[in-house]
Amino acid sequence: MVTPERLKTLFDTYHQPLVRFLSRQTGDRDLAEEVAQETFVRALKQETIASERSWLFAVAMNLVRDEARKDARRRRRLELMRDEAEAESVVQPASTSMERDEERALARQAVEALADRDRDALLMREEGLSYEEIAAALDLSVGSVGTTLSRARRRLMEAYEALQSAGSAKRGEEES
Amino acid sequence: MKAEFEGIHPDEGTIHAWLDGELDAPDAARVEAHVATCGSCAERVAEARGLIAGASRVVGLLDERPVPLLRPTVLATTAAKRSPWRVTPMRSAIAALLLVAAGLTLTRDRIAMEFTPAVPTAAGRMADSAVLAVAEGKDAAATLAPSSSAPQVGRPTDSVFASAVAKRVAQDQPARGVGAAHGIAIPDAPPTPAANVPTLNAEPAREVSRGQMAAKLGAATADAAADKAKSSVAQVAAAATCYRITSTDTTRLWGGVVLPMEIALASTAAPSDSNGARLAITGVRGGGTIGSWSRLPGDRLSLSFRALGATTVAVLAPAGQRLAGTLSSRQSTLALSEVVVTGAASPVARSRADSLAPRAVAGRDVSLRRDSASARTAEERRLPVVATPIDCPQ
Repeated sequence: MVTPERLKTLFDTYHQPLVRFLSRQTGDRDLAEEVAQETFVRALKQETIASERSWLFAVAMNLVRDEARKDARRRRRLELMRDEAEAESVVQPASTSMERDEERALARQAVEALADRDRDALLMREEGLSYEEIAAALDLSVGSVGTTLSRARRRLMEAYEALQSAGSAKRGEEES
Repeated sequence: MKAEFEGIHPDEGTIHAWLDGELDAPDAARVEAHVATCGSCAERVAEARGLIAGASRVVGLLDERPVPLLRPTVLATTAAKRSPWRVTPMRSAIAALLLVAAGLTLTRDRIAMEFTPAVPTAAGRMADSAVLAVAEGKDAAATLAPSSSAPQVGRPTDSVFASAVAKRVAQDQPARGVGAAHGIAIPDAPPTPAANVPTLNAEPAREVSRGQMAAKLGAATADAAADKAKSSVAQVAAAATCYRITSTDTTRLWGGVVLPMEIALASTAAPSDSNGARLAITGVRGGGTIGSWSRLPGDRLSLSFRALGATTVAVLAPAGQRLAGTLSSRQSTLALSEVVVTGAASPVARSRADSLAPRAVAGRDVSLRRDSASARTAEERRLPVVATPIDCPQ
């Protein structure tokens, strides 16, 4: 049984990365908070947890994949549409914050374009999980984590840069 | 090139693993030696560095704002247990009941804004900032801020909800003018000061326990009401029956509430309270979710409550030693005042309300009633559940 003291330590250590991970996964901060809470509730029920960080991230990820997934997707699309609408409605030279909003929308689209496993691995790595932990969480062999990550990074950057140039081409047309 | 003759060009995954510091020492040394002598591999390494940094930057762009550090205050119950002033879930539930009684009419605009379908996130942000203003402007509401980071009750919407209640109560009390001042009839509670309101918000915020937010809400609400109108509303009877509601599918995030949850059913003696019976959720989501309940013919139990923005109706029928039925929840644009007891309790049912106990009656058909007022809401979610009687948390 995970003791309350142990759970507190787990919470102190992992709550923030977990919420960030889940927010990046879903684009929905509220959902991220809920799923993170549920993850810790489940941790409390565990007899033992071998690799805590892997376990927490894997459970959180699976929860997101569950029922909430569809909802999150829907909300994410709405958010994307809103971000795009905002980005398109810019007439004045873009301010820094508008650039930032637009960048975020592009980043969201690019991350969305990744295969689930690639995205999971990348977001976990960004939270500092080791290859071994990522392998445990995603049920991969440790040897394939590097390949997964390299593919995720390459595809993310390709997608992001493609979206960026599409965006600036569009702006160019509008200006001319 | 010499390295090519050796046939050990590292693949891209290996290069990433190396740059990530995840190769063991012999492999790392081998890659390093190879890259030092292989021009094409050096280029690939440079590209991989760029990809790693770029991907990290793009992922960072996803973050809207820094994630605030939430404290695990819900777990820090040791100190609270020693204190005679400690807030038990039961007391919290009762305080939450007061909250309902006091804040019955509530926040139509707030909730409507939250669920404007076209731009839900933007609306949510607007609402958050509106509530921040409330919190800054009012001591009572400001006490909600620290406890709102308790994980079990910590979603921003909870404090939003609570602040809205406090605000609305403060506005409404003079007009409603209900009765004389009453405190909360909490069993074993210490003597309360002049306003007959527990000064729970005097406790250090860092020791907030699970139920304490709910109690604070009650206190804050009552404080606000007393300041403005020198009256508070409810005198809540302590009698309660508690259930744990579970589903075979416990992964469900349902109606803003994570199952399983615990509910406390209590009746209230407040004459102004026409519904007669209150329900408080003492489980996972703390005091943010409140509602009412009643007995229906055939020992069935009708529950009606809401998490912020979701209205839930359930009729549970006896099934052995437990109750079984379906929770039906839908996003809602309703005001709290429009949350009604489905199948309004008969006088008989109300008089039995606080002696509810599960009875061994054969299972019956479960009938679901929808609030007529929730007809204009969107998606409905239904979840089969079982309610098991438990000892009310002390």
